Amino acid sequence: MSQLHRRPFLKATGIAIGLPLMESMAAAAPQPESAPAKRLVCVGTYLGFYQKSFFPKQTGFDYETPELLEPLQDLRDDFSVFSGLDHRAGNGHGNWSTFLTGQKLNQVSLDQLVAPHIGQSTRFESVQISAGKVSRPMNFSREGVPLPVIERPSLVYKKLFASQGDRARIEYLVASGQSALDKVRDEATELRRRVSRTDQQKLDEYFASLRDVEKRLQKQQANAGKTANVDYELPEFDPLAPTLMLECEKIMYDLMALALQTDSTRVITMNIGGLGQVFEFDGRILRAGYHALSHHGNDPEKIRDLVRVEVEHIRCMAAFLAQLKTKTDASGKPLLDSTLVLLGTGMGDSSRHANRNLPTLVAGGGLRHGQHVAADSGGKQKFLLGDLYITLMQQLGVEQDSFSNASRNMNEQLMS
Amino acid sequence: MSNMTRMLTRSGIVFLLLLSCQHTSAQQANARPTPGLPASFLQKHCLSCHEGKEAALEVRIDRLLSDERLDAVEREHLLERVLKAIKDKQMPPAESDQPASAERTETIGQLDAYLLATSKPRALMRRLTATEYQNTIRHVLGYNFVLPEGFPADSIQSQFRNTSAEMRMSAPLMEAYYHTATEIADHVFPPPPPPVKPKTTSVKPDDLVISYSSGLVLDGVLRLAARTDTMWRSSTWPERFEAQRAGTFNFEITASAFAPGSAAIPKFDGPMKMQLRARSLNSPDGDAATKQRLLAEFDVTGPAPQTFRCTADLYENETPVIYFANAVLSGDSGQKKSFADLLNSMFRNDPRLLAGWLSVEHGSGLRGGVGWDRVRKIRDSDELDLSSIDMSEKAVAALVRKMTGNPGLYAETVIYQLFEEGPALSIHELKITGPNKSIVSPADKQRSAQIAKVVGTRGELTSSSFANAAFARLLPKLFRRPVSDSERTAYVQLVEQESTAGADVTQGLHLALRSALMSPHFLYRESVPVLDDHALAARLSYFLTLSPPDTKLVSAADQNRLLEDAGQLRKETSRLIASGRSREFINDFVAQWLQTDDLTDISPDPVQFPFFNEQFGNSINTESQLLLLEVVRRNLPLNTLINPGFTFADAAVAKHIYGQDLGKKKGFQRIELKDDSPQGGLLGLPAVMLATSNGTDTQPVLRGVWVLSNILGDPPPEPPSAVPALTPDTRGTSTVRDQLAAHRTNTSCAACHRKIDPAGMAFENLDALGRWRTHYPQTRKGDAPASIDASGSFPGPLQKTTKINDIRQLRELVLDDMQSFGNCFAGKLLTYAMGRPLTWAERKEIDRIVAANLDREQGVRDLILDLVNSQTFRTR
Repeated sequence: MSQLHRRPFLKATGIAIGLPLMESMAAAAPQPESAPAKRLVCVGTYLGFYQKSFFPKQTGFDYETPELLEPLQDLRDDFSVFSGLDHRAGNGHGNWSTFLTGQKLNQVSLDQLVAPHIGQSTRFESVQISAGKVSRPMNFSREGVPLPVIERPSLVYKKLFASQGDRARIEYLVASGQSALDKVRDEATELRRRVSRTDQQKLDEYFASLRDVEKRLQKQQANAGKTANVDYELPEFDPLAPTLMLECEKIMYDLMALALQTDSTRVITMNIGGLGQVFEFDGRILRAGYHALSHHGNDPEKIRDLVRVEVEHIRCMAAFLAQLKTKTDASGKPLLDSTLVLLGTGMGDSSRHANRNLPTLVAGGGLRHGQHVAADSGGKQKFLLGDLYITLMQQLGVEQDSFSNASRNMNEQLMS
Repeated sequence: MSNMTRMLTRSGIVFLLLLSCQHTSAQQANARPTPGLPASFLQKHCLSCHEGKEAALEVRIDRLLSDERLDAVEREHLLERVLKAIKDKQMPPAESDQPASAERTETIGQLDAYLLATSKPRALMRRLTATEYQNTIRHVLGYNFVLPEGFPADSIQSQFRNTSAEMRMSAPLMEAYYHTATEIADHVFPPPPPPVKPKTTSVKPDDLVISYSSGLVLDGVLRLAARTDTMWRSSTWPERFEAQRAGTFNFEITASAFAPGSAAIPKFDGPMKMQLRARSLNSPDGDAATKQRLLAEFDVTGPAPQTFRCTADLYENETPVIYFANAVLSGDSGQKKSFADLLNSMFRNDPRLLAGWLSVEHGSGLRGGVGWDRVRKIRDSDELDLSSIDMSEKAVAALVRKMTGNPGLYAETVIYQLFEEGPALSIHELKITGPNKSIVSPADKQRSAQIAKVVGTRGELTSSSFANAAFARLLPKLFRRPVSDSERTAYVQLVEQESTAGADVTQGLHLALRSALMSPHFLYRESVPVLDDHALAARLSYFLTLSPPDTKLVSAADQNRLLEDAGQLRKETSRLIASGRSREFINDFVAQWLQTDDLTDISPDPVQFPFFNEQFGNSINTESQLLLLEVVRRNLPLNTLINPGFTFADAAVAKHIYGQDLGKKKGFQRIELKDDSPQGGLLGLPAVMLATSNGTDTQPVLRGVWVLSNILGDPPPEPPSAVPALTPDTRGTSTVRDQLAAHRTNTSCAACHRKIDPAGMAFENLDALGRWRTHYPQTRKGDAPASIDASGSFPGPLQKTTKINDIRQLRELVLDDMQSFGNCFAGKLLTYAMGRPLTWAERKEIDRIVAANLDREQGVRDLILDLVNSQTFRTR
C-alpha cells in the first residue's frame, strides 16, 4: 500500500518542543533486585509470518504445533505464542514501525522505554542491530527519533568486544571527546544569548542531547578496560549480500548471546529486513524474492516458499534460545530464565498489508510458558499488544501500568 | 545590519515584535490593536452545529470563540477553514438561513484581518537534513563523503523532510554526529595506520562463489568453462574473504587444465589462460569480469595440479576473482557469433550430440544441469536412431539460431557438458595471505589530494600556523559565514592544548575538526535573529541545490548585495537554477511534493505488470522529475504542468505506459502526446498513480486526497479517528464505486468525501501504473471484466458542481482555475524553501505573485524568481 500520509498537510504544524525532553532528563528508577527478568531482547521481522502456519489452531497448553513453530518443539515449555494482538494502528508498510511503539508512529519504543531502567549498570544501555537492510525503523528514542542500527556483524563485534589495538584508539577518542563537547557547549551557550525564545528552546534540545552523549562517553570511560574478551571467530567477511541475509541473522544471534553473557548490555533489538532477497534452500533457488513471496495472493507455491523462509527465521530464534539455556548468568542460572525474548512484527498479513492480528511470541524471563494465548477468544477480554508489553515491563521491574493505547496487562495469563 | 537594528535585536522579544511589524506593514500603515473575530456572525450562523463534543466534523467554533488554550496553530487552521467555507458559500449549508451578501463580505474581511494580525511566522533555526549534511561535507572537503550506514533518518510527519519544527535534535542523533565527525576527521587528519597482521585464508572449491551456471564442483575441484563477461555467469571468487584494508597480499592458486577431449570438442588448443583479478564487493556481481583490475595471468596446462603464485595489492572491500579468459564458451548476448561457431563446430564433430539437441524438448525447463542431463541421455542412448532425425543444414541452422537467440538459457545448459567433458579450468585451492604491508589505495590518495586543496598542506609551517591556516579556510565554509578572529583562535588553541597534552599535532587538528563538526554553527543554519546576506545565501543555496553556497554566492553575500539588490538576487537564483546542481532540488522536491518517495515499498502485481522491475520504478520517478525540470529550465507556463502534451520516457515506459516505440533511441526521450490524450501532466503521472495504489488496485480515496492536497490546495481535514481506511477487496463483488457510495451515506463522511471521491474516481481509467483502461482486471477466471465508470460531480466553490466523465474533465477543471493550482504549487515550493508552514500573510503574498505571473503570461522559472524575491523569502 502506498506510503502517502492520509493527511500530510495538516500535520505541518508549528513548534513541537518542550516536555518530552525534560522527561528524558529525569533519572530513571533503577531496576529492583527482585525483578524476575533482567534483560530484554526484541526481534521484529519486516514481513511478519504467514498467519495460518504461525498460529496454533487450539488455545491453551495443549495446542498442536503449527508448521512454523516446529523448530521450537524442544523449547515448547520456554515460550508462549499469542494471537489476536495488535496496536489498532493503521495499515501499510509505514505503520510497521509501530511494532514496539504502540498505536502511533514516532513514539518511544518498548526497548528504549525500559533501557534507562534496566541498562544502567552495563557498558551499553541498549544495542540496536539488524539482519539485512532495514526497511523501516523499529526503535525510537524518547523524542520519537529513529535510532541508528548496526548492519555489519563486524561492527557489532567491534562495538562490544573491540580488539586490543582498537581499544586504545577508542579510549583516546572517548577521553579527548570531552574537550570537543566542552567546546561546542561553550559555542551553543554563547549562541543561545543571541537568539529568539523559540530558538532557545530549539537549542535546549541540543544541550540535552549533548548531555546525554556526554553521559554515555563518561560511562564508557569509566568502564575503559572492562571490555569483555570473548572467544568467537567472526567471519572475515560480513555477510551483507542479500542472499546471505539468513546467515547474517545467525551470526547476529550469536553476537547477541555473547553480549548478554558478558553483560555488555541488557537490552538488544534486531530488525530483520524483507526486501527482494532470493534465497536458496537445499539446492533449490526460490522462484521469487522474499518481498515478492510475501505478496503471495494466496498462491500455494508462493506460500510454500514464503513459509520456507519464515521457518528459517524461527530456526535461528530456536538456536538463540537454546544458547540462552546453555549459557549462564553470574549466579549460574540459565540466561533464558531471566531474559525476556520477544519475537514479533508490525505486519499482520503482508500479502494485504494489514496490520491486525500480529504474530507474536515471547520466550523466557520467568513467565509461565508453554501456551497459546488467543487474545480475542474471551469475548470482552480483547487484549492489545500493549497489554502484553505492560506485563513484560512489570516482569522487568519497570513499574508501568500503561503503554500507548493499552492500560491493562496479561499478568493473569503469564505470571503464576 | 544597521546599528539601530543591532541594538533592537539584542533581545529576542524585541526582535519578535519587530518581525511581526515588518510582516504586516504592507497591509497596515499603523499598528492597530488586534482586530476581533466576527463573533456575532459565528454565533448566529455556525454555533448551532459546531459546538461541543458533538460538533459537526469536529469543527469547534465554540473553542475558537472562547478557549484560550486552543493551540495557535490549530486556531489558525480552523480559522482558515472557516474563512474558506464562508467565502466559497459552502457554509452555512443551503438548507439554513443565509447571511446577507454584505454580512458575508464583512465577515470575510474581519476573518482575513484577524488572520493577518495573528498569524506569525514560526521561524526557527534549521538543523541540516541528512542530505544537506552529506552534501555540505562533500562541498566543503571536496571528497565523495557518504553518510555512514545506520545514520538516523530524519523522521518527519510533514510533507517536507526539512520542516524545521520537526527537525529535532536527540541523543541518538547527537551520538551519530559525534561518530560521523570522528570518521570525517579520520579522513582529513588521518591517525597513523595500525600495524598490519597478515593472515592466511585457504579457500577450497566449496568455498568459492557459484552463481547461475558460472561453475560446478565436480570431483573435488571447481570447474570454470565460460568467458562470458558478466562475473556472475563465468567467474568465481571466495565466498568469505574481503580485504579489510588496503594492503599487499600473496596469492597461491592450485589449478589444472581439464581437457580430456570429447567427440564434440576433441582438443583444446594451447594453455588455458587463468586470470586473477580484483573486484570490490561494493560493486554489482553482474559487472564485467574484464573491467576488474588484472592482478596476474597464468598459463595452465595438463591434468596435474600445479600451484601458481603472485603478489598483488587489494584495496579495502576487494576480493580476488578467477576468470578463464580463453574458455571456448561465451554466453554474452552481444557475441552471438562466437557461440554459434562453437555450436556449429560441436554439432559437426558429434552428430549424436546434434541429434540430442534436435530431439530434446525445448522450453525454459531445459535450463542448467537438468537440461544437459536430458540432452546427454538422448545422445548416449543405445536406441538413438540418427537416420530418423532431420539433420539437414536447414534444421541445424534453425537450432543454432534458436540457441544463440537465447544465450542466457542455452549457454547455461551447454556449459554443463563442458564442466563434465571439458575443456574446463579446474580450481583446486586458492590461498590468500596478507596484508603483508599497508598501502594507500588510489581512492584514498585521491581523497587526500582533494582534502589538501581545501585544508592546505603543512609544508614548512609550524604546527600552530598550519592549524591557523587550515581553520581559517575550513571554518567559514563549515559555518557558511565569515568567522571572527577570536572564533578561529579558539579552535587553534584547542589544537595546541591537545598537542601539548602529549598527543601530536595531528590529534589536535583531529579534535578541533571533530568539534567544529558538532558545533551548532555547523549543524544549524538561519540561527541569526534577522536574516543577513550570508543566511540568505545559505537559504537560497540549500533550497535550489541542497548544498552550501558556492564561491560566487559567498562573494555576493560578502559584498552584502543579496538582501538589498533584487537584481543581484535574481541573477544568482537564475544561475543556480541553470546549473546542474539544481537537479538535486528538482528530484528532492518532486518526490516530496508528489509523495512518490516510497515507491520501492510497493510491489506491482506481476500478473498485471509483468514488465515492472526496479529499473522501471526508477524510470517513472525520472519521468516526474524531467517534467518539472523541463518546465523550470525552459520557463514554460504553469499550465504546462497540468497539460503538457508531452512527457519523458525511456523505451520501456514509452512502450508499456504510452504505447509508443522509441526505436533505437537510448535513454530518456521527450515524446509527444495527442491533444485529447488522457495521459500526460501531473494528473496521471505513472509514479503518482503507483504511489496512490497498492500495486494491484487503484485507491480512489488516496488519489482524491492527493489531488485536493497537492494540486488544488484544498486538503481535506484529518478523517475522524474512529474511521477505518478503505481497503479495496477485489475478491468480493462490490466495486470501489459501490463501497465509496456506501461510505458517503454517512453524513460526517460525506462532508469531505463528496469532494474526495469524484476527484479520485476520475482517475479510475488509469491503472496502478497510469495505463489507460476501460475495464477492471478480471477477478476470477471466467468472469467478465467489469467496465469502469469514472464519472462524478465535483463540488466547486459557490455550490456549483462540475460534471466529470473522466480524467480529462478533471484536468479541464484544474486548467480553468490556474490561480488555485498556482497558489498550491508556489505554496509547496515556498514551504519547502523556508522549512516551515507559511502564515496567512505569506500566502496572500503568494496569491499576488501567482496572479501577476498568470496575468503577465510568465513561466515557472519566473515564478521561482519572484518567490525568491518575495518579502517572505527575504525575511527570516
